[in-house]
Amino acid sequence: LKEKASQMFFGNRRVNLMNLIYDRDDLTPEAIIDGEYEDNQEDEEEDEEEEEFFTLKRDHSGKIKEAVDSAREAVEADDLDVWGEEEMLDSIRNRFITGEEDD
Amino acid sequence: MNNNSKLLKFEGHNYLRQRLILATLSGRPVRIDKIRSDDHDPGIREFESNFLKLLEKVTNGSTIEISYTGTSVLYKPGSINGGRLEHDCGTERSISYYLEPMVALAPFSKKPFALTLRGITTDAVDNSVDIIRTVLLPQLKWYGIEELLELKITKRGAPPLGGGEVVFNCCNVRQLKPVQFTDEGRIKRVRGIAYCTRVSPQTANRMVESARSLLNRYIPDIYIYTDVYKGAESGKSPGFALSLVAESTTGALLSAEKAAEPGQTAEDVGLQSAKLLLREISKGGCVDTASQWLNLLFMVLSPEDVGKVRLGQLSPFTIQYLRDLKSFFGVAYKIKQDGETMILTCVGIGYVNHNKKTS
Repeated sequence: LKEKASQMFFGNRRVNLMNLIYDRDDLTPEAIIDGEYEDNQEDEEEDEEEEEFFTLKRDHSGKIKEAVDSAREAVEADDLDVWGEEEMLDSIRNRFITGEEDD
Repeated sequence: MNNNSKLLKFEGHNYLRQRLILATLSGRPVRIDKIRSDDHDPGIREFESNFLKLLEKVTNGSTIEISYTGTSVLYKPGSINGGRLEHDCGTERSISYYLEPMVALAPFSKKPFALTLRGITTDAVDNSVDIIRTVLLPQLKWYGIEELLELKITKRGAPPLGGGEVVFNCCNVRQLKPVQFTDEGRIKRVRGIAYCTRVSPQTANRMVESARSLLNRYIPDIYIYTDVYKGAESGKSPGFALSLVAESTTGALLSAEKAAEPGQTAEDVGLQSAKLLLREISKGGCVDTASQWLNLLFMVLSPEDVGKVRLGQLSPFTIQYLRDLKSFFGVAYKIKQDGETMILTCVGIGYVNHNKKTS
């Protein structure tokens, strides 16, 4: 199922996010999110880190069906390790008023 | 609000809360089947039936039928009544599990909400009451919900025993104001609350120090309030947590928090919540993950005008919320990718709270 989702994303993602959400009832929300990683992966190295970074807790436990009914996203402590790396930390500097203006 | 009487059917226990809330707002009856029907302990859990009880309290004329096995629930919503109420949230889920949906109902009630909830104020699963107070409630103001709006944390309660208490006040409105929020701005300051109960008061300072060690490189304007509770106000169990909110030049609020889990030191908690905040900031958007759902809901309920919001990455919870919004209100968002973030647009249905007279 995941692969299918990612393949769809590889094609034409921009059109598809709406379709995925509204027309593909067979896809779980988690599968849609997972599909997005694959798409990002081909872009840049930086996104590759992101991919690992956004992996959800429930995927690890293999219990996708038993989603926790919470508005907060579950994040594994390991997934936060990238935020100890200088390169990653510098990448969001422009989001602060103290950083460079250009995006 | 057409198709008013048509019964909506869902399966599974997931997203039970939001479906009940959307049913209440839309006035459509809902039937949820196959609730953990394959589980060795089938049926709804105690926290879910407790949530149904709260829903029954705040509404008038609702009927809730739970099947003998507990695997299916039929809910026919009444009107949202509000008023002065108390509820014990138990210790299975935190107060926020119950409070978040109430925040969505409160503006559309007959009487202003004055709700006292008891239980766990911060846990590692839900957003804490601090985040609701400092992030979710300020966003209600964008929609014109301002009067009386307050969340008072009178007692802290950490898991497993809880013992916390909060008081939620909110006015009712006749109609929301339409909102268009697409300029995310840039982060100008970071605020936070480090709370601790029944541990050394120094714990709060240690969390603040380690969070600062990471965040100070970006911005000097960081103020983290240390909130140490003593005696009867500190609940029944020891606990500590750090919640952080980054505020942008345009008023966007991005939040993150970390509650201590067994074995974690104050430094772990401080550093992790700082990292979570950076992660949230990196996603971009005018609204953080924790409050995506509320904004999407209110935009659907807004007057018949275009509602627009810029979001970072959608969470699975939000995606399901979008789907359920369409099931109940027939409104689908238009999603347009714009750089690293996306813009979600919809036309509001012009929801009117008929219980509130125009003044």
